[in-house]
This record gives sequence, structure tokens and C-alpha cells, in this order.
Amino acid sequence: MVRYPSAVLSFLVMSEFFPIGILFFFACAVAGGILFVDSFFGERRPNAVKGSTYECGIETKVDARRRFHVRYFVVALLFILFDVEVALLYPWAVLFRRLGVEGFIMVGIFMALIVDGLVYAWKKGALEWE
Amino acid sequence: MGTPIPLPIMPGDLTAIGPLLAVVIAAAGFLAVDMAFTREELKNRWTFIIGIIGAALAAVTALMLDIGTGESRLILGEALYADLYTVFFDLLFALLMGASLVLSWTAVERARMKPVEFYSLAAFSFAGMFLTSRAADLLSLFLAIELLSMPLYVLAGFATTSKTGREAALKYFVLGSVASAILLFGIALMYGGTGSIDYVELGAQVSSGGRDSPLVLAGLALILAGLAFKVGAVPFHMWTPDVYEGSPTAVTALMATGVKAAGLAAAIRFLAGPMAAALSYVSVMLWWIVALSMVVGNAGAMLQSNVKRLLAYSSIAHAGYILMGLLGDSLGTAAAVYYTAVYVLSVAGAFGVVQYFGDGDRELETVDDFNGAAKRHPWISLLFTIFLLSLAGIPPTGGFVAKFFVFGSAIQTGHIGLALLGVLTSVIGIYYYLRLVIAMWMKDEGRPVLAELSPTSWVVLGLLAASVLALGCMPGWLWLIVQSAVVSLV
Amino acid sequence: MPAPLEYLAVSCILFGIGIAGVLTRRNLLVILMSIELMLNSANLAFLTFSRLHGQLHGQVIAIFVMTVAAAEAAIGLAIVVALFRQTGSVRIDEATRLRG
Repeated sequence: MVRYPSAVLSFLVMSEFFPIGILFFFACAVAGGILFVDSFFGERRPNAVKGSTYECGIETKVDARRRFHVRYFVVALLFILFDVEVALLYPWAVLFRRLGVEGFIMVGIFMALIVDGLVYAWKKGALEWE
Repeated sequence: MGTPIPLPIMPGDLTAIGPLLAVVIAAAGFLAVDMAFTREELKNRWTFIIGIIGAALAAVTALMLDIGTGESRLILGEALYADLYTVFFDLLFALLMGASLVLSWTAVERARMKPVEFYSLAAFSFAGMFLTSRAADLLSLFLAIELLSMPLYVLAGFATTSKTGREAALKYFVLGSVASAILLFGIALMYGGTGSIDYVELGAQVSSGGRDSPLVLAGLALILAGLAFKVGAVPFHMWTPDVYEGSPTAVTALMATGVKAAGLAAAIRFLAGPMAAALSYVSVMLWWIVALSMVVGNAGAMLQSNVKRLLAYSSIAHAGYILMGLLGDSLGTAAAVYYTAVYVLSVAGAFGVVQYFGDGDRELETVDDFNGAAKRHPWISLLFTIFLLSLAGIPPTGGFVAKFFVFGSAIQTGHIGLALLGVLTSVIGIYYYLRLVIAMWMKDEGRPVLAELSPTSWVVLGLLAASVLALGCMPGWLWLIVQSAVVSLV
Repeated sequence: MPAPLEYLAVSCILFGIGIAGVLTRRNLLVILMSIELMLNSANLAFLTFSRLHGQLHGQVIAIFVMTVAAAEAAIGLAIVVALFRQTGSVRIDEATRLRG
């Protein structure tokens, strides 16, 4: 039914992105080729100092995989909640003028409920870092 | 910039969702109380006042609804219904909210939960319950069920002293969200098969040959599975005993009454409303759910010694009895609604009594703990006995009449085998409920301790017991109301 | 344009992976991710059907489901953190106090 090879091919050749595709291909080929050649001819003498983590010239103190404090989770949780509720505002924003004052009041009530939650979290000290 | 788009809010729509608004405002009020006061007594006093006002407002606004000629009305852009059926369940949930405020207070404080936090989460859950009975499309149904479940996931693990609460919360959350996802995928398939999420539109599509579409069939099966989880019917009951036992008793009471009634309200609206044509496609699946729920629930309850687990298993069995009504005609549906009301009143009373027994931090756990309760506390034991007899289905209580209606409609519509199975399993039910009654009245070695009951708690418990007895002796008035509520469904 | 059947197949496969993940994995965080996967597979199905029927219903539902999924993830993570503080583990095998 859908003839992929020809469709894909014609799309590729006809499209204005074709030159960019060629550029992309050569960029990958050159970068990959140099790495490949280097792995044959390059010299390798690893030691402890070379292998250590580089952090802007500052000596590393602890392992990167350590436990995060619980307050990171609290902030992350609150962020997820208030962040995603914004998704519900997009349709309103697109039709802002056509929905008029009534729509504005409705969204105002919705936001008031969310802000109520934010104030509650604030008052309860969920946003305090120390 | 284009023509203005009017919002789909008609005059009268806000009155029609009055109970919902009352509960949401009460929930926001609880949060405000928690922020405004620092002293615990003030917080507690205002929590109680706001809660009672919210429940009373919900009941009053439910009664203010103009039901006109008794036909269903679609409100808020055809997203919700407003009819006698919603008024009926609104009153039931408002009553539950009041009963929870009065009866669960002791248990909430015993579990070291803050009443203001407990009741604000519970109020959001109640808002979801008020939505389930009025959902008019699949999106409203999904949102209502999520709104009702999410606060309860938190509440189950809310008691910081409890060793088992967090585990119960985890199990409830994982299994509950899987059920929600299954429900949602079912809704997606249903939408794909018909191109609509409206009950009315769906009903028209299904009755005009939607049977051929595998998408519709698979969607129906998945939606039914999701709903069966929420009401705790076999084979989606696995969470019930563990979660009921592990959660604080105040939360268990909410799950056994509110969540179950809300799930049933949604299921009855979905299967007996405009979508009634779809019921014939899933009737075999429903038949097995009913039969297995009755057998597994009653057999499981017989083996339990823990009172909360016993009530959990028995609630599985009751879900089976109630769903049996849906297999019949409109009389069967009415019987299911009647049974739901009786079940909610009896369980609210039973858990209300259980919450007061206990010593300090400890609650009574096993059946043997209730030994000799009647000697020391005769009145409350009498009330407990009335609720248990109603759950067992012994006259002159409402439970007997409800079972009579359900089995009667099943026999009338040809489900004789199922009705027989129902009667047989009810006999098992009598055995384990009477075990508790015998422990209280016939044995006298134990010394169960009773927390102090406030006069309001006595009044509420007494009213619950009186209504359970009234539903058994004079079933006519509620039966008439329920029948007209069910007529407005279609 | 590829047929909607292919999008549907992807959505069903994702849903299956989600269910399998919940049933077989023991790490709570992986179970949480599997639940999110199930919700989002339903979202993909909604969008496909929305395109197929030429309606907006499905897209509206998808936005609602996204917010519900976020709330569910927040509650799930909170419960996992609470359980971790109690048992010091995020494996579901540790949660075995309630049996019977």
C-alpha cells in the first residue's frame, strides 16, 4: 500500500533539506573517520591523575553517585505539579480574546485554586531550603 | 480577532453543581484554617465547624436542584448530569461526610493524624465522589475517579506512627494507578471505535451495530475492569484486604463507604444509563465478576480473625451482590441503588463503632478482642449488632430487604443460578457476622475498652441504626425514590 | 502518510511494556515509570484517534491526562520517599508486612 523505499527516496532527493543531509553525512564521516584512525595510530598511557574526574581544575572529593537530600525531592515534586498545570493554560492563551472576560474569570478561579496550594506549601515550609 | 466564543455555562448550572462547590470550598477552607491558626484547639474547632457547614451546604444545595419532570438534564457543556439520581447520591455522600467528621475524629487523633489535614484531603476525595454520580462523558468519569482516589493514596500512608500504613499506601497507589491506566486505555479504545466520549452519543453508536467493532468491545471490557477495581470486585479485589487492614481505621471507613459507593454510582450510571445497550456485550464478564465476588468475598471473610480484614472481604461480597442488580432490568438497577444505600449506612455505622473501641493508641484488632463487649458497653454493642445484622441480611434490617430486591430481580430476569448462589453465600455471611455478635454477647472473659463518645456521636450512630431499621421495616418510601431516580437515568 | 494502525501498534506495545514492567520489576522507581508509560501510551492512542476522526476531543483529553499523570507521579514519588525513610530500600520485596 505505502511504498516506502520510493517515497522515502523521492522525499529525500526532492526536499530542500537534501544539501543539509549531505553536509550532515560528511560531518559524521569525517568525525568518525578521525576517531577510527586515531584508535589505530594513537598512543595510550593511562595513569591515575589522567583518569580522574575533571571538575574545572578542582580536586574531586566524593563519588558522583551519592544520595540526594530529601528536600530535593520536595522541590522537584512541587515543580512537577505547578509546571504541568500550565499545560491547561495553553488552549486558553490561544483563544484569549475570543473567550473574553468570562474565560478570564474561569481561568482566574482555576489559578486561584493552584495558588492556594502554592501558598499552603510555602506556609508549611516546603520551600525552605535550610 | 474572531467571533467571541460563549462559555457553555447556562443559568442554573451552578446550582446543579452546588454540592461539589460546597465541598471544594470547604476543602480550601480547611487549608486556610491550617494556615491561619497556630493553636491546635482553634484549628480543630474551626475544622469541625467548616466541615459540618460544608456537608450541610452540600445536602441543602442538592435538595435545591430543580428536577423538573424527572428527566436527566445535561449541564456545563454536556459534561455532567443533573437529575434525581445525582441528588440521591449527593445526599448519601453529604451524610457520609458529616458522619465521618463526627465518628472518625477520635480515630484520626488516635492515629496521630492532624484532623485539619485529614479532613482537607478527605474533602477533596469527597469532591471526586460528588462528580462520579454525575459524569456524563468518559473524560468526566476518568477525572472524577482520579480526584477521588488520589487523596486516599496519601491518606492511607498518612499516620506517621503506623508501621503498616506506608506499605498499604504503596500497594493502593501502585494497583490503583494501574487500574486507572487500564480504565484510560479502555476509554481511548472506546473513543477510537466510536469517535465520541459522550454517554448519549456512545449509546446511540453502540446500539446501531457497534458490536462489530473490536475496539468498542475491548474498550468496554477495559473500562469495566477499571471500575471493578474501584469497587473491589473479584478478580480485581487483591488490594482490598491488605489496604483495608494497613490503613488507619478512619481511612478504611472512607474506602469501604465512600469509594465503594462512588465506584458503584459511576458503574450503574455507565452500564444502566444511556449506554444500556452496551451491557449485553459485557454481561458474561459481569456474570463472572458477580459470581466470583460473592464466593471469594464470603469464603475469604470466613477465614479471617482480624475485624478490618473481615469487613474488607465482606465488602468484596457486597460489591458482587450490588452488581448482580445490574444484570436485571430497571427494577434490578433500582435494587442495586437501594442496596448501595443500605450498605453504605450499615458499614458507616459498623466502622463508626469499631473506631471507638480501643485502648490508648491501640485499636481492637481481632474478633476475640470483642469478647464480653456487651457486658461492659451494652448500648454501643446493641448498635454494632444492628449494623452487623443488616450486613448479614437478617430481618428486620435494611440489609434483608436489599438482598430480597436484588435476588428477586435476578430471578425475574432468568438469572436463577446466580440468585441461588447469592442465597447460599449469604448463609456463609451470616456465619461470620454472627461470630462477632456472639463474641460480644455470649462470651465474657475479655475487657474491651471503649473511648469516650460525645453526645453528637451517640446521635449520629443512633440515627444510622434507626435508618437501617427503618429501611428494613418500611422500605416503601426509599424504594419509590430509588425507582424514580433510576427512571431518570435512561 | 503512514496509516494510523502503526501509531496504534506503538501505543499498544507501550501499554504492554508498561503492564509487564509493573508486574515483573521489583524496583519501585521502575514501577512508577511503567505506570507513566501506560498513561502516555493511552495519550498516544487518543491523539491518533483524534487525527483519525478529525476531532479535537482526543487532544483535549491528552492535556488533561498529562496533568493527571503529573499529579500521580508526585504522589507516587512522595509515597516511595516515605517508604524509603522507613525501610531504607526502594525494592517492593521489602513491603511484606501485610499478608494473608
